[in-house]
Amino acid sequence: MTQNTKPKSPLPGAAKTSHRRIVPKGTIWILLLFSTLALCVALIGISWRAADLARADLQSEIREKAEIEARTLAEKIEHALELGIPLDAIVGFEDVVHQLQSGDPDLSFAAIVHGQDLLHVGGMARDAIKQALASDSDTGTGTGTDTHPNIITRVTLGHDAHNDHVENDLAIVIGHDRAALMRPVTDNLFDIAIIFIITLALSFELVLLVLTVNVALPARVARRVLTNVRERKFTILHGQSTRDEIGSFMEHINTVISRTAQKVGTRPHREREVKLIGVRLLAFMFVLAEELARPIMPAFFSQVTAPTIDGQLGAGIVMATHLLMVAIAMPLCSLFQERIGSLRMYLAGALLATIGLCGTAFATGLWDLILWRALSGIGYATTFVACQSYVLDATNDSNRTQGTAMMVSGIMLADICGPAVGGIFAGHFGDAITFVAGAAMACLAVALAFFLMDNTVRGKTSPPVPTRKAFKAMLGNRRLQVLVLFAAVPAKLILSGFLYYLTPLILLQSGATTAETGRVIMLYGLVALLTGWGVARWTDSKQNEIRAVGIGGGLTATGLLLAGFMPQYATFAVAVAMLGLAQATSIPAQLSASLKISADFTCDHGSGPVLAVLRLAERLGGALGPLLAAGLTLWVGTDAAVLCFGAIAAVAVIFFEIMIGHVPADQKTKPSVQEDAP
Amino acid sequence: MSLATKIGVALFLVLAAALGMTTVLNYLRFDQTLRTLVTQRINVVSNETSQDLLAGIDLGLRLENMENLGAILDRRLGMSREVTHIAVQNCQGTIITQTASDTATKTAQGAGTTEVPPDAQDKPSWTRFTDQGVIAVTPLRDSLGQCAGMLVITANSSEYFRKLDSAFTEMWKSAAIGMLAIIPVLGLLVVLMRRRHRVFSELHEDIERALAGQAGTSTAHDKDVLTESEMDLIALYREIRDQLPNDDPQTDRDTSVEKST
Repeated sequence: MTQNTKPKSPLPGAAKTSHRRIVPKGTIWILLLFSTLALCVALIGISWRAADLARADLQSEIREKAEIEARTLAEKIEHALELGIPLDAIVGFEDVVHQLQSGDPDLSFAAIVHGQDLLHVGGMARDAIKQALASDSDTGTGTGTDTHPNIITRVTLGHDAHNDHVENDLAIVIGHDRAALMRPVTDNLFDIAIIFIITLALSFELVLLVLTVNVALPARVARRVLTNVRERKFTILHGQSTRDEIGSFMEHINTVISRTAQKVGTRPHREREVKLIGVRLLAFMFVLAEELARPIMPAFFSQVTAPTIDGQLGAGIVMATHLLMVAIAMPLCSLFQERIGSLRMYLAGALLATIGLCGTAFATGLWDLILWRALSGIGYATTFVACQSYVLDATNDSNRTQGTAMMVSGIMLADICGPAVGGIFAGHFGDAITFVAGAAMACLAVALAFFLMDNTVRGKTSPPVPTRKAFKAMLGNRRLQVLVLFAAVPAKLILSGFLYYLTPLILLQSGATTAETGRVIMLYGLVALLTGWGVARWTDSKQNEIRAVGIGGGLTATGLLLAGFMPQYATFAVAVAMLGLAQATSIPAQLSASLKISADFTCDHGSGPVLAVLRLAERLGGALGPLLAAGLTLWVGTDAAVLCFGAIAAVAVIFFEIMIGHVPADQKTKPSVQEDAP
Repeated sequence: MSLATKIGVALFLVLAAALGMTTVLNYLRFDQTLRTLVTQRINVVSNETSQDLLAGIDLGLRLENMENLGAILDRRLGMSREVTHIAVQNCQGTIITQTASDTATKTAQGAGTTEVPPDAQDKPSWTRFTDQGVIAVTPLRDSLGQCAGMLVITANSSEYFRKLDSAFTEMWKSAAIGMLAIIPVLGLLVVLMRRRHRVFSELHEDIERALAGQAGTSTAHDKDVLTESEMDLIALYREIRDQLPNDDPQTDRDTSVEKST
């Protein structure tokens, strides 16, 4: 018996009619919600406990640090008093405070107080210190409440017999900025929250995978088999491997079909459903393998390359090599994706990534590091193309955007999880082990690909190589040109220029910490992850990808112009969130739109060349972004650079809308019959 | 393996993995923060002491010739409870002067954990945490950037490890309590799957009867427990049940099967 996989699978979560339910039918899905809720409660509990421990144990450590600084200062004053210097004749107190501040930037002020009088002050104006001390003493604790902007530490100076005028109530008072001093604890609490979100998202993904593979897919195939029997064809058998209730029920049906087919001399084949949801996990894993080491890459590369050339330059070369290999390999892999097949391509890519990451961990110098990172880059690009081509082969026009969004959400999740988990991991286990962990993750992806990716998804014969004429015609397609020039390139240009260059630069300049900046950037992935699925469903239901691309462009322009006019922390957070929503709306839709627009070409020559063009353009935009941002920053300053990016986004979306026109009526096909699933 | 067992095992593993991962990451993050704070505190002592020493070095004094070196170190020792020992070494690692070693420092010295690596002078300041103590080394450089010596501070790490152990125990304890959340989930799973199993058991009996050419039982399926696909599946089965080819030659209606490629 032959085995066949139905390639054009409805996506989990797709509904039968255009009227979609929020929660699918069947209490099994209540189990999914309930288990997520129970997990959520458990995670909140342990996160709360961890936060509690951090508050209790770490705050006391911080206060102890403040006391040591106060004692240091007290010791200096006592030493001066011991030398017989009268208290009012002490000079240079302000300089001593400045010296202390250079070692501890969180220190706001210091003063020598005698009763209520301030004898010497440093760090802040006398009146401001007086006010800070007065408001602190109002609380009655002397250590400040949790809402007080400063943490005041007081150390009493020892009585000195040589200075008769020195009373026992002589003290050193130092004030620390509460927010700054408590930053380690606050960052710790934020990280606990991030860990909570990551774990919850990962667990939801896994439970969804388990339920889809064990409940939704077998039932869907069984229904198809029974429909076939109803039509008295007896040509397909239930091939979804399952040994549970549905599996044993369908074994009976299979027996009947086989017997009947034998009587009439036909040979039924086994029908299976593509585990499309598995590609989400695979996409997640190959990106996570790379992203785990993201926070330590510059420092690690700099350290490894330092013996050969300047460390910073070395790190830059190594990172550029990786990006270059990704940019070259992606379009090339797209051209061969249909010949090689997704599974083989994924396995090869994940294997290359494993070797590259392992090699990086044990790299000894510039040249071998470049080689390992180049291998990693090729591996990354190959696995990416494999996942994308798998999605394209397993979906059709009615659910392609959702399929792409599913893969993109896996990537977004890894983009969020990787640096956060990797940073903590590297802090404890070291840089090399973190790269090895990434390699282990890529290796695990190789093993999982066998179970989660069907090798039979692609067509039996690969499409013919496009002729020069056909290729020229495809490149001459005006609507594709507009899509590439006014949507794909600006989207990546803005992503790399605004999000990865201007946002950190401006936020750090405005006084935000690295952790705070990181959290704002993380908003991009979080919003894209949470909204991607819903937006893609909407796009597929409307069958108007061009409109979705336009909306994405409009959202990007609005966010950027907002941030340009009001360059503050909160507006940047809003702009970044809007960019996340915009990219979630636009990127999957761009892919579907490019294939629809080039339908004439893809019918004869497959989707590979179209995707190669799109990816090349995207990479070009991605490379141009930081260059343009840097140039604009030098020319007009950072805030105006954001405005310029906003203007570019606005112009691009206007040109896109004017020049592309709207989807012709014949492209607006009715959504095909879809089925229930989560 | 029945579906209930499969899903039950999967849910248990997912919950255990999620709680385990959260606990490990929270613990590692706690350790990282605690380490940073302890290092910051030792750095305050280290900065102050090295500033005093550098003031002398900048005047052209060699560390070996500073008369009040011992007094400076003794004063700094009193700044923090946890600092147990301060030593000034020359660039070759030979001790020039040091404060009196307490028992913990002697143990650490005996275990070799306070030994400074030969290349320490080439590195920026660093801190190492061991069971015997925390050792922080700051290279001292003259105005020309040449090595003038090293300041080695040893601190008691017992409080650090006590807090770490306590956090470890508390976090895993709360994770174990969190695992209790699996009980209601498994309870719901058993209830739901039992109802689902009943539907499919009836279906099994029915198909066996159908294959034996017997009349079917007209049980209505338990709608709310099945997914839409499963309900469609059963409805389809009911529709074709009586047309299924069976073992009874009298009732075998398999006469009009279409040949299909």
